[in-house]
Amino acid sequence: MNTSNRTTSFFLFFLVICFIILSTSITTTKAAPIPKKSKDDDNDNNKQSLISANIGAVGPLDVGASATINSDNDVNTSGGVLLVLLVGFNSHNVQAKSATGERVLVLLDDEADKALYSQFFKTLEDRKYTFSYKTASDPKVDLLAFNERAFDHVINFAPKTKNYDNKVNPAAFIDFVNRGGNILLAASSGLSETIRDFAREFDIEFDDRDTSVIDHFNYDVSDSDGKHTLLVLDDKKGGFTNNSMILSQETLEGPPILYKGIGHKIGTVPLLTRVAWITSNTAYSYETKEDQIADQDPFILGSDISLVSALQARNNARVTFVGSLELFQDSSLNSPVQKINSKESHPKSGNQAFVDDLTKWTFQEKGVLKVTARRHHLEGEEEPLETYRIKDNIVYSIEISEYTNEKWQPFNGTDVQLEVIMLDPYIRRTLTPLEIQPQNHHNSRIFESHLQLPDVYGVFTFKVNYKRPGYSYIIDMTTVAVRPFRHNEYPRFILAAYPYYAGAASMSVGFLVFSTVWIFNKDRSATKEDKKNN
Amino acid sequence: MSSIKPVIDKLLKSYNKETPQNLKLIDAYLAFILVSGILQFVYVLLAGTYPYNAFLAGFISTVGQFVLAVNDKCVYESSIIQYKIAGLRIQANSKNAGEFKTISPERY
Repeated sequence: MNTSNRTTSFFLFFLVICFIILSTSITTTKAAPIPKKSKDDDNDNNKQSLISANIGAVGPLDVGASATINSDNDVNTSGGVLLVLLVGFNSHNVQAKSATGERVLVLLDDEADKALYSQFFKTLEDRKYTFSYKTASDPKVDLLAFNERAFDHVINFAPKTKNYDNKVNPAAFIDFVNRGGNILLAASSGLSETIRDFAREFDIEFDDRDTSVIDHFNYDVSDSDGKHTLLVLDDKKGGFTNNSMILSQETLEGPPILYKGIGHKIGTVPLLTRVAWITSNTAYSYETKEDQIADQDPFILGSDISLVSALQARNNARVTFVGSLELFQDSSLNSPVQKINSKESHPKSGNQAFVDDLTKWTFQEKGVLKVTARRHHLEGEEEPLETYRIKDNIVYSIEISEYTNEKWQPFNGTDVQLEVIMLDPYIRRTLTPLEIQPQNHHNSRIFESHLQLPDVYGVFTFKVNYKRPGYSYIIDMTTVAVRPFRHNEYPRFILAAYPYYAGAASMSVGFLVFSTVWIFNKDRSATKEDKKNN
Repeated sequence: MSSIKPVIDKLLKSYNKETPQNLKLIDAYLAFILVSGILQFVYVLLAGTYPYNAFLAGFISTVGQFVLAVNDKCVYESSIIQYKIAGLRIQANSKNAGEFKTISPERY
């Protein structure tokens, strides 16, 4: 199957090459001739994309092919046509907009629930994700296949399923995250203990079963049952994260968001980011049964109530917790919004934009960084050395690109720092971002620093440890040895030591002079005494 | 102060009159070494110990020269040989002639 596919691709490749050569020779008379160099580039690109297409055809486990195709910025028209042809031919090779992969597992309480989220799944399908819809209790569901991740992302819309009769349990989800998989989890008031346990692993504590976030002053006009749980989140400045990677500016400026569900409290894990929370003091989290006796204090009140929280693990896997399933439902996405006692009304809620932002961030479409190159060399030279000398002047540079809008682009940060470490950091320096050079084929920006190595010898590490909320983490380490001066590298004479040199030299000269004088000295009195003695 | 002055005068007079000329020569050399050593020590106090090796070399060379030129008699004994090492000034002093009978006349 693979072999035939490859043969077909090569055949097609030769056909198109012939076609290009033919059309060039025909069109030379009509249009300006294509410069030879650009044609060569073109062919290179074609070969590269063909190779990646073949890798892609091997099976669904391929992840890396997307980068190869997307990184070809300078493909010109005919190359583009060829690319489309090839991609269209190999139906396996559909590229999602995510930087890490397109395979999504959707877990539902009931297969029929899928219809509730049709618009949400449609937008994801438009972004070229491939879905496997399963009920959470399906015994055949497994996140792994042959000890590899079988999916790149998991959407867990099954908060009510208590017993997973399969290998999918909190431990399996943790393992999935440890292997770099992303999870979008939506909860509801009927949250099972299984999900609660999973959330605890991330320092998130959902309120008790059957509780909802209630606010008798900030609910939507359509909430007519008197429970006031359909909240209008319109405090876009206070109640949402200002991290532009997670929530875009348009979402923050857009219409309010409808929320109906459970609240949670977040712990102190620094990897956690609150995405949306309550800002009004009148909100509380409580059970909403009829004839409810309010005999206990609420678990969380006011601004302690988190609604949406996100975590990026140390391996850059992203996990997003949303306390509301309704947030994703068609009814909320298309619903008009009008807060009670407010004249301001919007024909459509901001949920669609909010949900888009959440999925884009969670599924690694935004804020993904990678290091494409790093260099170090002596000032004025090009080649890196394994061993530098103490106090050498060196240049360190690192190239970083960012995945945005479906392609790798130069990263625009200004606060990337370099540490020169031997147990402790000896130097910590903010790297200077350089202008983008057109001949840079990595689609990245160079961050550079000119520095003098410390006056200490040993094994040093050049470490770039860049961790910013919303962005994937960069830890890049290069180890070099730093040696002391060789015996002939010290200064021969030191200015401050000239008095000592003079002192030592005067001793030598003095000794010579004294010896000479002593030898030729005739002491009359001594001679007389000698004569007497003798 | 007035009681010290005649003492010093007498000392100088006696030194000029009774000290042999060759010992005066050694004393002049010793004074030169002493000044050189003191200057280097004052400099290290003012300028700090940075080229410490250079200071040690310069200063110890003065100390060494001084010791060899003036040194008191010292005797090293081993089971085989008995050495007598003494500074030039002590050997050259005619009053110590009885101590250094084996010394060649060239040293005088």
